[in-house]
Amino acid sequence: MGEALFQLQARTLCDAALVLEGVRTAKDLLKQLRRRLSRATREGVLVGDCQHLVWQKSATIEYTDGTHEEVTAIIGGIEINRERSRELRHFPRADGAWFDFHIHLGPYTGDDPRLRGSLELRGYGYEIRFPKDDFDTDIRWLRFDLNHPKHDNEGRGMRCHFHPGDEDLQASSALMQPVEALELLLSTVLQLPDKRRRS
Amino acid sequence: MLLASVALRLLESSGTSWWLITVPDGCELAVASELREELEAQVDPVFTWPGPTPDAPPVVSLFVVTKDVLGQLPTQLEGARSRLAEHGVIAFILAESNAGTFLSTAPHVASFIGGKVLETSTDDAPPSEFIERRLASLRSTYALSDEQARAAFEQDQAPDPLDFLEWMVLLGAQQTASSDDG
Repeated sequence: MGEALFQLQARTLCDAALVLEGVRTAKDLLKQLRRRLSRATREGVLVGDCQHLVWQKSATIEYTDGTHEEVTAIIGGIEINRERSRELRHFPRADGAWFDFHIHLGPYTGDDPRLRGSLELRGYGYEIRFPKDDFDTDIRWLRFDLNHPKHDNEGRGMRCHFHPGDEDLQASSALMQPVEALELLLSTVLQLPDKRRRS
Repeated sequence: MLLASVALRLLESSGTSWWLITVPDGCELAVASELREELEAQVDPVFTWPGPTPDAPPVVSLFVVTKDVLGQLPTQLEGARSRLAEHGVIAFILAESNAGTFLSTAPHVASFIGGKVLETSTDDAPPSEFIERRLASLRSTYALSDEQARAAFEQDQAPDPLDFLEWMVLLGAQQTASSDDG
């Protein structure tokens, strides 16, 4: 079982999968994410203009082994929201669900010369919540994580996983490009239509 | 207002909506270029003046009002109001310092615009408040000071390496901002 999980992790997190597709810079990714949010607002999926809630910061990180690299954090929201409080800034969907996220990027670290100069995913977290007033399910939230390579989950073969509404329960997940993950967070297919409380 | 949000406002308005977009002095062309890029990624066609007229009626038209056309453009616009009705949503991009002159020399244009005035720039940096609030939530979540977090990060003892990497990025960004101000 353990070996199978490591093989799954290796296949999921191969070089090419971690490299950002379709964009060369973090700024271009930020624009893509904001445009998708803009469309969601215009289509009535999101409540209000949320583009300003996606922001980025880059810094050169120096490591104790003497190496350094530029890392970019793209934050969707403001504060970390472990308590899942709706008082903190988030992305509100018209159907009552709400979400926030964070994405971290760094330079490609693999061996493929064709990918040199690309950006790769270092980690992410996308969490969506389903308030009980609006959704007929016992699962109150769902989170998709890509842990940092130094996280303990790397050693368990579970770096890329999701939590079905429980911090102590996790299962392997497909790796998602940022725009794919945002598409999922905006999607109404997460719950079957006849299972929603609201009409 | 974020430039992307200006684009959304224009896209959400309809019919013969006219807007005034004020920008820092000297940034008219840069803002127009970025705003055009945002709009063209979402609708087609977008017309920018000065520039070639598109084959089809534009969804949005951007008029870049630099200082050299400030003298004659308002008068030309006053006379061309009915033709401009075919230009979809219209936005005049000009320096904030020129807005008063523009509106006072084109009173009918000013009344069409009404209160639809937006201020923007190409500056995409997040508010420093966002960075500080994010850092405060990291300190609170892990009950650590910045110095303790840095030590944990450097010693590879971070409870969540990704959160601590983000912590270092935000601190690094703050330090960069401080050195720029100093």
